[in-house]
Amino acid sequence: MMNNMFLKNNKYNKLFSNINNLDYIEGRSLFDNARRRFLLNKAAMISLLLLTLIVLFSFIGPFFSQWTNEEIDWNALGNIATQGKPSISTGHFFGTDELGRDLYSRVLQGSQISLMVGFVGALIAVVVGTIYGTIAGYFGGKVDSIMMRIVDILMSIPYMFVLIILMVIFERSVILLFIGIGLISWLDMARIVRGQTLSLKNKEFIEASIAIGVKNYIIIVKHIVPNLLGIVAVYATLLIPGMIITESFISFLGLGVQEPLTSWGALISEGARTMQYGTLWQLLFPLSFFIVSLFCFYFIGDGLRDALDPKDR
Amino acid sequence: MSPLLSIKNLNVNFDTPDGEVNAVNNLNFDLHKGETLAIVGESGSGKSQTAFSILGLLSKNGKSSGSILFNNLNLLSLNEKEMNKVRAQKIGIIFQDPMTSLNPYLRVSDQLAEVLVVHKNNSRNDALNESIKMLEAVNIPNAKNRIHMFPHEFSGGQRQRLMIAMSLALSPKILIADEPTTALDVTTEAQILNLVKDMQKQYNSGVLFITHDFGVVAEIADRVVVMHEGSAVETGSVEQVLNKPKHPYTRSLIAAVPSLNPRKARPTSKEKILEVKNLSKSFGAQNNIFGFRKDNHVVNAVNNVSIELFSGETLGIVGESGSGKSTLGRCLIKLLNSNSGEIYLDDMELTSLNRNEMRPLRTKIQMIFQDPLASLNPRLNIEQTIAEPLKTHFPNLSNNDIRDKVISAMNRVGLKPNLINRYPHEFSGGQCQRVGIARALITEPKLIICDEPVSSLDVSIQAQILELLDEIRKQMKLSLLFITHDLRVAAQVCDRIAVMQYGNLLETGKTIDVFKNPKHDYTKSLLSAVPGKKWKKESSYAF
Repeated sequence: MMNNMFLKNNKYNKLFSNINNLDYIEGRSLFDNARRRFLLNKAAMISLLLLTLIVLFSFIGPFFSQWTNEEIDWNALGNIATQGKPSISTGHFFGTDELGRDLYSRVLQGSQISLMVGFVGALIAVVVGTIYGTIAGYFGGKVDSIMMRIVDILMSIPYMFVLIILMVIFERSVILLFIGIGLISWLDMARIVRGQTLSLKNKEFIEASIAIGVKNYIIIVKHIVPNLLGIVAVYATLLIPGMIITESFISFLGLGVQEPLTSWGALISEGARTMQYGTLWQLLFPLSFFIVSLFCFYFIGDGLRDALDPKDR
Repeated sequence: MSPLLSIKNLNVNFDTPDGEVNAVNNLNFDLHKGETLAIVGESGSGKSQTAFSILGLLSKNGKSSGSILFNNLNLLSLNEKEMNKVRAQKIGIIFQDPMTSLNPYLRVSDQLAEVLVVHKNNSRNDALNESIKMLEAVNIPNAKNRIHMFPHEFSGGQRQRLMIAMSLALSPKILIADEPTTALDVTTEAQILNLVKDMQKQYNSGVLFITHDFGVVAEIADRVVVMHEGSAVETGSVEQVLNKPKHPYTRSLIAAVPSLNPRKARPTSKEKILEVKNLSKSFGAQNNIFGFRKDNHVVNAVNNVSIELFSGETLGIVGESGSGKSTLGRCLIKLLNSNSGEIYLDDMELTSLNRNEMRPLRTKIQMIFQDPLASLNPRLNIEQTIAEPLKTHFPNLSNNDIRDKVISAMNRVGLKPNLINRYPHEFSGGQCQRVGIARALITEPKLIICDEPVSSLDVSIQAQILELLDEIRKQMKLSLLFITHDLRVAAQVCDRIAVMQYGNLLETGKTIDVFKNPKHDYTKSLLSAVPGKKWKKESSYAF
């Protein structure tokens, strides 16, 4: 064991007894600074609030609905334009869809699915992309070349066709949708993280850790990943709306999630189909949820980017 | 004779989120025709902001008040259009980094001729001919052909020459040089300083020379303004300020400048701590598209170098940029793997060891880096940073033991222990370097490789860090391998010196021998290029 030559000295021992009573000055980490800047950003804070409300609403909302998302209101069926209007008295707060189902419940259900697709897709991107990108960037050389060529190959596959074919061959299901979106979402993230890692690994503090003899995985976990988190967080918040849009697009084509499940994209698609019958609410309710949420995500992403701006370091 | 430029009661303030910051405070000075006035100060003294306000180049949140009189014109009252005329024709400027001032996508000929075409209404042909003459005037060889090249095809010193040619193209009355030689090697620096001197004589213009380096001041200035925290603390002739400084701040600054007279050699021990035999390292083997090596364009960064280092000794590795001195240091601590040769640390051969076998030896050899802030992880606080070697090599230590050791290391390097929870960005450069030193010391190594540890620090901080290193060396019986480009620092710190050029070791010897009787021509030219060498300055270091 190392002989403690510092402590042998009496003078130092004396100092220690003093030091132990000292008030430590609290440091303010970069994350503290970023959090403070983010909290001062009004647009981002309002967006965060709105988004939280939407998420909460999509899970708490069903308790207030008077119809489930599967029940068909036989009174409204066949006469949607007049009987299926949004109204408190019939219990259809957002009106009904073309089949007489309660749009309020359907929108909430769609919100859950769409948000889930967004979050799961982003989560896969963050976890897989960060791990893959840091490993490729940190080890460099052949490892990097081979790993990044794999990414290139995967990226050059027209995933939308593949996804659609998969949807057609196998049953349309949420699981398949998650797998499909998860498979492609991490590619960009891996590239971004790898690029950042390349520039980080030549920084002197990484060299210092190598000179100390710190093991590779500890360098990655302790020194590289924390310094990547800023850019990963920003990119992830911008990735979520991208995922939601992808899912909506597939659902809009009539492929995504299958009935009785639904999503924003599916609802918008249905609403758009019946626009000319005077049932505009069928389009507007899912569309406004969709747009407001996307707005919020982008504003939050913007706020995060400003807060974590590397120029301020 | 009325002055060319007269600055009266200049104040510069910046609006920042943390309130108003005063950068220049009530500054007064005159610049006369045919004189070189040096503004000296450490970083943050407001010397560059003074130059920027003369040219109306302050950033948007900056405001200047007072008066800057030039040709009976108050430059501060001009609008952007009027200012542009003054800037282009009457006042030229040279910046620290010439590459940022030259457009990388335009040929030099186009950039130079453009100035003449726009401002002098020359025809294209005349302008080109005149440009060639200007390049010849600033000693660019083969100017006729080279003028059609792009800026990146010139070396750093030549780019600075291009900038000088460009700023002198319209024969301005005043030339402002903002640290023009700071990024250059010492031999190039000497050439540029001579060029500025020549040009000034030729055009009889006034030169405002901003620098942090007293050697440069001694070399070039007629009069000196010493700035500190926005105010001029002392103004006077170069002899008076350098040799008989009145203000205590000037005195302390000058005392902190290391002397070129080598300090007395110390008795050294015979115990060899490090021996390097025929070490070579080359770069530039390119990878093919699958990442496998192709051998072409190889550069020998370190070529057949042999050195030895005794216990308790400081060996300086001296050379200009590209000499391979940093590569050598990185090979010794195995940040880079050498191609051939042997390294013995305490009789253990290092080059054949792999990463895992090397790990236990890393407690014996440590490194201090050039950029103090960049060498600390911005996400970790000071305790986590300093404790990293302990956690790596002594995983069984309890948290309390670790904290005790970190605190004693902080005391040793002169950091208050109550700063233990702070983060690097909350520290100054000097403090960050102390943290870096504490981290290197905590495993009680036998050898520390110092890679330009003071070259990014102000001169007064530099003196403190050098003294700290020497004290620690004495207390802990350390050996230091001190890599530096600064011969003044080397003269004060090193027992022996090894001079490198293009990866080759030219000569090794006792510091005093190398300085007094350099054997190699390159060493001679290095020594003769040190700015301010005629300025006899006594050593004020207590080593």
